[in-house]
Amino acid sequence: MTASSSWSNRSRLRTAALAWGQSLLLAAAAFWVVANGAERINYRWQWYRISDFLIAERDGVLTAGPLLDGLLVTLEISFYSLVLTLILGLATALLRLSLSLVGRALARGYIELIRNTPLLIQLYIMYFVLGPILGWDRITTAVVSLGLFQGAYTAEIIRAGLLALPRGQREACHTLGLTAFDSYRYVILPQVVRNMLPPLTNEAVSLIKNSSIVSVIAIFDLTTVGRNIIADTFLTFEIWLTVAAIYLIFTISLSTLSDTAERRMHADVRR
Amino acid sequence: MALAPHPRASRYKFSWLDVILLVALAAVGTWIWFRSSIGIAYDWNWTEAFETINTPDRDGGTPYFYTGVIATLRLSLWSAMIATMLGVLIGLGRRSGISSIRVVCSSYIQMIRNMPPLVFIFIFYFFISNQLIPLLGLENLLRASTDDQSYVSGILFGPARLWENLLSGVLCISFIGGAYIAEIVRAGIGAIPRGQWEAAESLGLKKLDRYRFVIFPQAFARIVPPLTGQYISLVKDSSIVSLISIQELTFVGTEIANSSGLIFETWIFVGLVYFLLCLVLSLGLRFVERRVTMHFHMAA
Amino acid sequence: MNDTSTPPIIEVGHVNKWFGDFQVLRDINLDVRRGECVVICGPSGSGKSTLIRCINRLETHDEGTVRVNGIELKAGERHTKSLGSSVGMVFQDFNLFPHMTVMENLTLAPMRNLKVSKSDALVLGARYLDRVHIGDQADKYPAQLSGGQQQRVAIARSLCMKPEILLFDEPTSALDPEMIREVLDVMSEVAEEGITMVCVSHEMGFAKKAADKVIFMDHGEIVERGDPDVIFHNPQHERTRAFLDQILHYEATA
Ligand SMILES: Nc1ncnc2c1ncn2[C@@H]1O[C@H](COP(=O)(O)OP(=O)(O)O)[C@@H](O)[C@H]1O
Ligand SMILES: [Mg+2]
Repeated sequence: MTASSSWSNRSRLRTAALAWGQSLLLAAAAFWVVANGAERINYRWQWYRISDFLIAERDGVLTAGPLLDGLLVTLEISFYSLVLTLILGLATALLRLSLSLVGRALARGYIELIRNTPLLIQLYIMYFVLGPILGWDRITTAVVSLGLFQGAYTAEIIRAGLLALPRGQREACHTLGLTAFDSYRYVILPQVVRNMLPPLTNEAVSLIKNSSIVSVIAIFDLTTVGRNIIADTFLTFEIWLTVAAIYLIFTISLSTLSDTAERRMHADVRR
Repeated sequence: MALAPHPRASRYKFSWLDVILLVALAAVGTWIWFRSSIGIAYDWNWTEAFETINTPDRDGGTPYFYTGVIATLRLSLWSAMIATMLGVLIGLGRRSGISSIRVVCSSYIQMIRNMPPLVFIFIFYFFISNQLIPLLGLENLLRASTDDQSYVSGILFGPARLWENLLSGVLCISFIGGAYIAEIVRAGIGAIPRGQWEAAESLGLKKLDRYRFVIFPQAFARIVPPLTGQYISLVKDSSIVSLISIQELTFVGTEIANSSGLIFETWIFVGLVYFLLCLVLSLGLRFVERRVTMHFHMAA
Repeated sequence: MNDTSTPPIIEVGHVNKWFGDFQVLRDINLDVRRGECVVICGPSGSGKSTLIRCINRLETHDEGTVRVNGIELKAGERHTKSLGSSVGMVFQDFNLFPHMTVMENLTLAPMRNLKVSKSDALVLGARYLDRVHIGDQADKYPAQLSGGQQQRVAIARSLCMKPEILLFDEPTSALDPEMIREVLDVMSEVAEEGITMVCVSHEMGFAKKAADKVIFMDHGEIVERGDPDVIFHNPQHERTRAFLDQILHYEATA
């Protein structure tokens, strides 16, 4: 029972219509601001050229244009870093919860180091210092940087997820005589995984967002491709707005998914 | 791997895990040392790096590296202030009774929080700073005050020739930080139980009084901890405005690394400075945080 | 106490209310006279809270009329301003302000709304704290008090605004059994002093002692109303009987 106002059917319809109307109005206003701003600097819109960069036609066959190629690189890097993030995050969380002194110190040191320095500087140090020393290529450098960065944040989420499970659950398993394996398999893990899915989805959103920073080490991801096209064509606004929209489509749908899951979960628990 | 039975349990013992970790650590360290000194034969030169960093500029003024550090601090300070104001306004706007204000505020928060900061910075650079800064008429102000720049404004705003540069950076970071702070403010106020609103309302308190005496004091204690975290993020995030030529620590680092050729040492230095800045800041803010939240007796 | 010559202070006529598709209140008619104490009981989810929250505008009704203290409250409109401080409310979970001391909880609204000076407010607060028998707890924070004490502070806090009507929404349901009595005692005392009271409560002892009228609600309707003795010992309606059976059965076995 969280709704703050009471709605009859009719007023609910009216409110929904109002919300839609306002959104449209807002979109129109935003568009006007952009268009008007562009006009002031005599900007000539050439939206029709955008499609070439999304889908290209080669020898009569439709293929992905450079922007979609860039998107693929972005998603690829995000995916590999997500895998690395989860491994690092889980390992660090378990180390922080372990009884090992060295393990706890190591985990703490790693988390503090990452959390107290900018991602850009981490990437520079990886690219200019560690990469050459270890002979990594650019993609490896990018994936390792992003994974190391996100892993430090994910570790805290996983740790919180493990600690959040009420003691009573473990105790109940024990009194029921479940084996350790069965308690994990049927009681503990299902709850922990369920609780952690929404925040972990948010970590994936963060990764997609942060991956754009690898464009500074000349990886041909969505951001770099956008910058290159602009350098060639001067379609500054069109390209940037398109690139932003592509990122937003991915990140917003993922975060909406995680928000909804989280809300539904809370509702479940309350009932 | 045995989990501690309780987060506070402190029965550490030296186990096989510690041994393995120590061995692994030593192996990785040796390997990196081996690769750097024998593999690629990098010639570490810390003394020269130290001298480069401490060399005064041509007129004998503050060394370039330190102007970068100061610029980052200045940038962060102003951004923190503007972002906080923006964040509080937008966060409250999300609770406004007028639904179009709510929609604008929540779209803003959604958009910024879901867009790569880099992309936002480039759009900002090409669009807003071309439009907004001239609009503010700063240039005239600038021309008028270049000659007689006071000591105080030098400390607060830096050299006048970089004012426009500073303002672009500050606005850029504030627009991003503002969205995150708005979310913190909204969540802080939203976490106040509904009964508190209802009790305040049925006591007949006016809307402003409800916020002032009942809601804000309680929300404050919930907002301050994440807010201090956000300030640290702000210092870190400020590094990316180097990519649009805002002259702060990272920008200075890039220039020094390129001109001196001491790439390894310079970047390690820069990283160290950020680390120390953030560490000192988080210690200081943790102190403030404790002082602030100490006075609130939250219901058990 | 049943003074039939004056007009009712609360008049609820043909009120309907929906939450989405779900009708919470069905054709509710209820008159409460000045100084009367009305107890509302009924199963959980029957709309009791919603009904009394319509009286102080924490909820709005969709159809029908609600008139409180001579002021017509229009359907779908939340306007607490005109009601001012004439209607107070005591909640199930107290809703004391956790960041203020007991005395600060009591003096906030009188100082801000009735423009009482600080020293007068302190006197007022001390007087009502004595009335609820916890004069010695003024400087404590809510979290330092027991549930029963917190609820008595909440009652004192409402009384400080000198309301003409006091609403109670299950004031003892969140309390441990040994604390229920101290709160009910205070409520009976308040009722004797002649404040108009509408209480959602299942405490039959309190209803018999203090109520002028008991109302039984189920599924959003007022099923039965009347004298406490009649309702509790000789209910006319099957649904009332079934409900009372449940309560009585529980109390007999407990
Ligand atoms: N804000 C709300 N939104 C939707 N349904 C609600 C809301 N408040 C109450 N209800 C529903 O209305 C019904 C009556 O609620 P309530 O008046 O609290 O009952 P009672 O106080 O008699 O237990 C319940 O079924 C409840 O789920
Ligand atoms: Mg209720």
